[in-house]
Amino acid sequence: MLKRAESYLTEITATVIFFIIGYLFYMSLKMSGKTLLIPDSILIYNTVFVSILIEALPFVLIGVFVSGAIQVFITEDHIRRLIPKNPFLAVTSSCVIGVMFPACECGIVPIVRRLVAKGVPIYAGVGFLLTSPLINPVVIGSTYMAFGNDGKIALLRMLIGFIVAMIVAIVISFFFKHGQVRKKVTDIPVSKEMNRAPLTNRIKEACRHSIDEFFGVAKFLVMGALLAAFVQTYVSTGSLLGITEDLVTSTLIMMGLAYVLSLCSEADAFIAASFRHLFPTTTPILAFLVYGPMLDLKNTFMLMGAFKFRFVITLMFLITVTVFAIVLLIA
Amino acid sequence: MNFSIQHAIKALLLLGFTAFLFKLHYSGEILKYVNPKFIIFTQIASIILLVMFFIQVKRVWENSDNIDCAYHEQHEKQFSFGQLFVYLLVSLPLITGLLLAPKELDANFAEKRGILFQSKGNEKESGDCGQGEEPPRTALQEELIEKMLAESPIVMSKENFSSYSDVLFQNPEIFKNKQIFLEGFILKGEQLKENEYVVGRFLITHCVADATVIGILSEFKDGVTFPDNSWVKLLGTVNVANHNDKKLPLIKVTHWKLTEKPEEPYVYPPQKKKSKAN
Repeated sequence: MLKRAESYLTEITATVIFFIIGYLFYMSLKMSGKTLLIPDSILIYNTVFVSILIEALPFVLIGVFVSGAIQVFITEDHIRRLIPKNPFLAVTSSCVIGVMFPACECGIVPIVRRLVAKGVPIYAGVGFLLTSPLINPVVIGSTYMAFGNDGKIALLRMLIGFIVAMIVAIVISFFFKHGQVRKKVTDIPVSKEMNRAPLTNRIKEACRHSIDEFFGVAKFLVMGALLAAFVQTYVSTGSLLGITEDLVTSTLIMMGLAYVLSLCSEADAFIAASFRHLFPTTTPILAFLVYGPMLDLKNTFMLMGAFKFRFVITLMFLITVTVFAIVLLIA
Repeated sequence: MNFSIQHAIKALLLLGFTAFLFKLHYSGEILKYVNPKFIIFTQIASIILLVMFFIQVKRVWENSDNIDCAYHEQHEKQFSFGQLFVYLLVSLPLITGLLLAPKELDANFAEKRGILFQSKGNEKESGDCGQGEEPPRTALQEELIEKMLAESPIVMSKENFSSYSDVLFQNPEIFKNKQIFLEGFILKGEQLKENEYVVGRFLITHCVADATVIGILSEFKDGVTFPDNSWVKLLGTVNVANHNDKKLPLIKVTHWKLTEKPEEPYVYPPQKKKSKAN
């Protein structure tokens, strides 16, 4: 009898979980009928918070599944053979690969972390991390549309983004050679048996890694979303703007705004466009458009969870300085 | 066979998120969070989560001498307050999402955003382009102008709000003295005159976190005041105002009435081939 029950344990567990979830949802439906006395601003805070997560979820799932597949299907040997030895070449190729691989700034973090854990040099990872969310067809399309079908801003955004990514990655290559990944218990190298295991087993294994990765990323994503939604709901970003005519200050303000708003790179162009009338030139807008996809509040938490503290701080500093300098120089 | 509490919690959370997304779709509440075009992505996500749950639930009772379980035991011993905190954090959106009803963004939020009464105004004036003032219009814009000129009054609906207001902001002179009808919430900006209000709607690109306000400056009769979060329907004529040296459309309101907030208060960017990747 016990033996039999044991062989059905999984099914029983699944059923129990289904019942628990069903019960919780039933209770929540019953409760939601009652009007709780909660201020509107908290309800809006919650709505923005949940919506950031709902928006990020599909991209994060893609990210963790790619990461899981990399863990199981790509060996350290593959990477050693594929990545050029020369740092400059490695950076260039990683930036170009980033352009061809569309992702968003939260989905990309687990992928890069996994690649670096597998032996990709950290500077190559950075190039990929910075270009992938910024330079892709979706972002180009939405930027083009948001600025009244004017291709100039979209083009400049891509161009400046690529230059910044190259510079940051090259500078990083002087300071950090490899490593920098926060070790996790799941980072075991693929065993020899796994490499010869049947495909279905390997897929299953990749899925399990994806699940662990998902939970690894989720906590940082939630923390980032909590903060970003708070800023959006309670901090008056409008009061920051329009107080200065000074180009340097307004560029810095727009970069700060891009950081705290934590918009998805595929959706930030319309917001940027709506700030346009506040400035005499497009420079601060470009800074917003380039900086946001590379670095924001939401993905800072994710980066902190994936990489070592010192590295993340250096990276943030470099991105900030480079974006600022290049935008002012070019525009 | 030993029971892994961590794997069980993960399985529970995965199914919880799946159920949450299913519920949002079923009740239609999802529209209070994201653009309708984005719904397909969340649907796919909810199915992936369900599959992840079925994979995960197998691990709850798995033997620890399995090949991939070398790290599990290590894992197991770590279950602590730290871990508990992490799982609570991850389940937070689930809890608040279920207990608190989604709320539509209101005028307060719009004011925090600090978005003024023009959407993407006179872009070509941006000093650094050095082009002439009249930018060449695209065929699409010409088409829209034709269409709007043919209407009397111009009716700004939920569907055309963003594209019409775009054209209006870029070429206010063309529409001078045309009648226009629109619906939106009332926003009082600081730089406005006593009887001027911005009538606006939120434009949602992906989700409510990226909302921006499209607002049109409207001049009411003297002494008109509105309670917070009012929605109005109004009819008026288009005028051109100079605001900070920029030409803006200004609606001189002839008729208006307070109205309930519509069922679907948000507007979305115009659908175009290039706009999305799906």
